[in-house]
Amino acid sequence: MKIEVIDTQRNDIHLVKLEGRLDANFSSQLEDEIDRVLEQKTKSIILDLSEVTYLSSSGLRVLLAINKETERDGGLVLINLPGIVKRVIEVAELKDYLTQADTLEEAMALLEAQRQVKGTSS
Amino acid sequence: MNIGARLREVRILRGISLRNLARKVGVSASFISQVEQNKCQPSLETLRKISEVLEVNTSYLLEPQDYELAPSKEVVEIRLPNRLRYLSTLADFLKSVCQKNGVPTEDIEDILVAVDEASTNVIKYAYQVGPLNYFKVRVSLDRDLVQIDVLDRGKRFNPLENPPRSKNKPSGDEEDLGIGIYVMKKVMDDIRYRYSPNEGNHLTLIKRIFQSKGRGQ
Repeated sequence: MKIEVIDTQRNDIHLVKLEGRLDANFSSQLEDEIDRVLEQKTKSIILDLSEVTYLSSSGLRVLLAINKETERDGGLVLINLPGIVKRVIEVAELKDYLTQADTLEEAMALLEAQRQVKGTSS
Repeated sequence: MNIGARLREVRILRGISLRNLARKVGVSASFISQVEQNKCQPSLETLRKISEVLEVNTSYLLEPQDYELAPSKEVVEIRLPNRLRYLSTLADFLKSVCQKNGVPTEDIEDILVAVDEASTNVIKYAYQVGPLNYFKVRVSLDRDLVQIDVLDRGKRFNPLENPPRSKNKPSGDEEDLGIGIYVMKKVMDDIRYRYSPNEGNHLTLIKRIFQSKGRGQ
């Protein structure tokens, strides 16, 4: 599993690109890496899953944990989901809890919209 | 030469009844029964038809001693250490075996998902990672199903007894175990578990293939 953290033009949003199998063997590694990213000013994470070849329940658990951690001030958006990843999320009935977008731009727009909603409610 | 005994052996191995075989060959059941008791000899033509139905070489029925019967079920097995890094090795193995046997891609994906979850549980819960140990994954291929047996000598662990997932919004704090077992049950057609102190945990996963059905919802 490879984890690449890419800066976006906004310093509160990080793009994280994953590569390989997101199974029990790599889930803790991903969790540690995301924790490091979230220690900075980052509030939102966009996960690019285009190169992910497999997602198990252990990987799903990490996605849900990131979701929870970013929920208050930002959010998590998944982009470029391969078929197998979509299938596992669907079978696990977690589609409604994990925000998905087709492109990076769409993901940025979603996070911006969420931020505005949260901004007005607080 | 004992055609009768050999015929009976192959017929039972294939799970075909006397009546069923007779109907497919176009003779009476009592005739097949008599052949099996060596009370009468089938014609060459009938023998050829019988071989066809039983998917066995005619010469096997005639000269059983030095001919290897192609089994109806091929079994492939892998033995792996209780380390999570071998999960990818297991996936590669399963994919290769299934592809060689023409299992449809969608079914292969389901098999990979279920066996990965089952094996993760073996490593994490039956062995609790712990000192080096081994577990076995056995794949049996039949015409319309793939059976996967996962065997380990760890602590008794029955995934089917695990409590159902909570109805709350999933937070990631919840153990992934519940989600994993839920997914495993959903992508397989049947799951069985048994335990014995001598043989340890034995989980059997069944996936029916070559069926025109919608993907599980």
